[in-house]
Amino acid sequence: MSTVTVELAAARVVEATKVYGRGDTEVRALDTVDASFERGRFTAIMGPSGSGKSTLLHCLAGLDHLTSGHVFLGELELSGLSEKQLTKVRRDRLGFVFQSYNLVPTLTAAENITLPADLGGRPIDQAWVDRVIDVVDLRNRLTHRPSELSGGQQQRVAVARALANQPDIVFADEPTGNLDSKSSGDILRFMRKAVDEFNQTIVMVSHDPVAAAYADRVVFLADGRIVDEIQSPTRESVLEHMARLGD
Amino acid sequence: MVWRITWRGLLSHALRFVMTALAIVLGISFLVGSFVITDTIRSAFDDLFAQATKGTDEIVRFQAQIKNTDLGDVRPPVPASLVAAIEAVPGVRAAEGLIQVPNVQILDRKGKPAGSFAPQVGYTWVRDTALSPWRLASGRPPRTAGEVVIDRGTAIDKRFHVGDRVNILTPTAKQYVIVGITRFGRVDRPLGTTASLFTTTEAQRIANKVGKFDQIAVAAQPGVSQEQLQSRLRAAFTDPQIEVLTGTQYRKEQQSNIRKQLGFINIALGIFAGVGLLVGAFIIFNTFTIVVAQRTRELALMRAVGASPGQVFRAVLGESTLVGLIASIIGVAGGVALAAGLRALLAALGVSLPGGSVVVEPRTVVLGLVVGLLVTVLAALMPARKAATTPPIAALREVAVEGEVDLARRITSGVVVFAVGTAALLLGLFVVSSGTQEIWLVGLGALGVFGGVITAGPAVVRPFARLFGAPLPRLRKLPGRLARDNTLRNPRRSARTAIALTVGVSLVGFITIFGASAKKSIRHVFGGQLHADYLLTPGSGGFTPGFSPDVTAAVAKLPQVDAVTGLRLWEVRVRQPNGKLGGNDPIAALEPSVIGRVLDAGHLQGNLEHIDRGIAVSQKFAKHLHVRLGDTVTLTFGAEPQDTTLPVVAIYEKTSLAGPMLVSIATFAQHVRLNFDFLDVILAKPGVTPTQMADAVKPILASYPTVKLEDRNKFINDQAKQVDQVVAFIYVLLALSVIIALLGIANTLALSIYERTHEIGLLRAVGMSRRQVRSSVRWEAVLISILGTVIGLVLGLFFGWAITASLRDQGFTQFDIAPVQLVVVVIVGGLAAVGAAVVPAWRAGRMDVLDAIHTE
Repeated sequence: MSTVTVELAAARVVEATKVYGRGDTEVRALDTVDASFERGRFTAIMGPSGSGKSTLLHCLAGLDHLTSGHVFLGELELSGLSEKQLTKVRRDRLGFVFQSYNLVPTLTAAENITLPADLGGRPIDQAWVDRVIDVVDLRNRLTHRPSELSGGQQQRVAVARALANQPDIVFADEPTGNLDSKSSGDILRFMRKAVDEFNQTIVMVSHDPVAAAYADRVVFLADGRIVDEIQSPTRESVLEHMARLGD
Repeated sequence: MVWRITWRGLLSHALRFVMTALAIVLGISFLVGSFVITDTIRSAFDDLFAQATKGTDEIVRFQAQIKNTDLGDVRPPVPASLVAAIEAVPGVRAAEGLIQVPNVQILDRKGKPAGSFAPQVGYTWVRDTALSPWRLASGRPPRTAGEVVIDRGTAIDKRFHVGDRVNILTPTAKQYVIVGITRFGRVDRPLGTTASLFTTTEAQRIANKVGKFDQIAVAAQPGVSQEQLQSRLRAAFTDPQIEVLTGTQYRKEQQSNIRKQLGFINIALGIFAGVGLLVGAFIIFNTFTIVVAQRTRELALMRAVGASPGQVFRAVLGESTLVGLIASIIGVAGGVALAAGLRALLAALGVSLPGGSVVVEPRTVVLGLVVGLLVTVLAALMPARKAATTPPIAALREVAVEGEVDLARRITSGVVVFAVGTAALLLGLFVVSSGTQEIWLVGLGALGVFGGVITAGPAVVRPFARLFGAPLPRLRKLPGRLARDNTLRNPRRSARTAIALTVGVSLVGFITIFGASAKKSIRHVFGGQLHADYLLTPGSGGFTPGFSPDVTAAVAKLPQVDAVTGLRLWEVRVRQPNGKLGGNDPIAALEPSVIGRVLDAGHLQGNLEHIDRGIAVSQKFAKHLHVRLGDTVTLTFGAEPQDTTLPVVAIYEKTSLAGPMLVSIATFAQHVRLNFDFLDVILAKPGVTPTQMADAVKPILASYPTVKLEDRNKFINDQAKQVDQVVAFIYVLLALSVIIALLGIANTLALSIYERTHEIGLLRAVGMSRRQVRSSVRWEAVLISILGTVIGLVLGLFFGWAITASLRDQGFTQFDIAPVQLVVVVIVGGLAAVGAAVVPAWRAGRMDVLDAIHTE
């Protein structure tokens, strides 16, 4: 892997501003944020409620639009894309893991995993999908419907779906928010493994220092601005920075 | 992939789609059923005509003077001498004169009519077997005026045998000896009709056609084709009045007449099926809208992971296509079953259709499938579009709700649409007089009125639910308040659900008001314009249009009777000022000496009693014809080749009872070969009470068991009651759309409860009883139903007023809003809603508390 590609960001935002409401009720969820997320790394975005961390993720993922500023996915600027082009980008180049309601309830686990490829009408790289399924340990749950799976299993299906597509980047929005600590650990280890073994890029929003400790880098947001950042975080270092933010 | 999502979506919400599909199943069943039964009847008639004219190569007759009257085409009879002239034409093997007399009733041994709903007909016995479908089963043909052959079906039913005596109303009562019993081709009787076959002279006498025939049937010699013989006959008889049809042409004509009549039935039933399907479409629209809203997160998730709007659109539309297809298939099957049931019902009533099964034409099946599919898919189009525009970010929001309503805009646009619709409706009813324009304006106007109500509906829900829901909290405490608030929670949904009911109810209201107004008008018109102590009527049974004038003559001779007149009705065509014959106009005949005393025709010019020397016309008709007192009117009665010219002896004002033209019974009998009176109007001598007179009349009726003697009030009530029968019949047809709308209420409630699972769980957890949950659901249904019913009745009231008022000239002089019936409709609507809420309420009450709380 050449240094050039490593240095090129998988995604970045330039002067990203997002404003909700108007006049008295105006809220600046993002206030001229500049940030970049390197390829092959696992980045956590942290911050208190209302800091704008989810908004940043949604705008990065093309799910929401900036009020002003730019979003780049690799060299592609999302801000100017039509809904149709955005749909194609999400389907072919991005993966998602949400906090809850990640799966189409009427489809089986296996069908949910291959959903983006099926929607795109693309052939499925079965060997790759098999490998992902083994990594998340879902081999014997493939024919189950979401309602027949535990919360942890559902999130593993969601992670598998996000990875099955071999996306440029996976966005995870509080992926362990609804899980017990054991299931959380499983999910985070899988994500870590995806970065280490598959050279996957992951951006995760979380408020949990334990989760953030799995990342290569943590970015702290408060009031719509990036206020801090640590490399190779540990639970302790994250807690320490959070405590400082609280002051 | 899209299809897999569609299919799974359908399976996982099977119940809600079953309810939706049911709406289509019912509508399509009705539509298909009406086509299948009319096709079955048509095919039966086709067979009947084919059988009756199998050996007939030519029909010779006079041209029709008047077409499409209640008694079919009217043509003059041909002279009997024509038979011999035809037989002289080379290539003719045989020619037979035919006579057919409507209203020939065979009486059974108890003196009751032997027939039921089907026509009771008299014929000449035709000797040539090729020209007659009748085949003797036993006995011999009639040879004298006192002999008759009857059909085998009647003979078996009423246990008549060869040699028995039988009383027949021809319509004059006469006793005959049964000399033969006959079958119609292979069956005992055609389509439940009763048949009496007489000698030619006797049939001519009964039909008032002595020395004449209706038409002449001709059989060709072997080797002579129908076309060849037709041209020879045409060459032989050059009188332009005479027409010669080949057997095939004649058969086609008869069959197409039946087709036309059945076509009207199809259109009439089709309208009711259409209303039902419209309501069904509304429910489908509502269901899909709710389902799409409830699935917002799922759809958004699909969008987030890369489904294009088109794919989401196709997935939702695919669901509707599947629902529509399955429902239409079941609907078609249901329609066939419905028709089979009707056929069995007809058979039970004595009208058995031949053939083993109902007739299912390919076009019926195609129509059912296409209409069902189209209605479903079109109704789901907007919800599917809405689904396609779901933003992917919606997957991340916690709750999904339908968008809020911009009330002001809705009210404005609703009012505009409503006003335009109303204007078109009123314009069509009161201003425009061209038939097709009028129908279009009224139709589009009514649609506009509905459109306006639909648009403004959500804005009405709030004030309405406040008003009608006000007593609920006091009546039912907390469940009552919840019911009211839940109705308000999503005004759009409540409005859509209610308006499905509005459509059916507005028509129910309209028919109720129209019927009540018709009855009031009948009472008013008869009450004001008819003077009588007693009346004679032909009695019930649609195929007994009149009774013998002998009855009238006998009544006239009674010392207790001061005056009596028969009433006869006919259709004629009148020469217009431009010299051409106009369309069919009704004409009535009465006794000149009595007319002035029984009929109040308002302001008069001339003297009604002078109709023995001419004709009386209404002011309006006189104006139309540009005639004045002393001028002449030229018209054709249809039964003779030449016109009749009559001087105008009176011009009268009121037409509700008299119609546009009046002549004397004598004039009528001279020109129309109709051998019965429709009605007798009787006045008692001074000093004789009506009851005494009635007692004197009764013995005359001993030989006429079907004739009814009624005093004036009873008669007027009976006339009004006929309106009730029509109204009741239309109620039954409208029940379809009301039932579909109630299904809609049940479906919406079920969907809403599903949505509120968590909330209901919470309420139950903090102590709400199952009974209270059920009560809350029930009252919500009642509130929605009353909303739909009341709006429907207001619309119905408006339609009823507008249409009644526009028919003022046709005798609708009175308007009755029928308050009692309308209140009954509201109460029935509320009760029906309780019925519709049974299942949803039960499901809501049964919910497991813990499960419900943990549902997202």
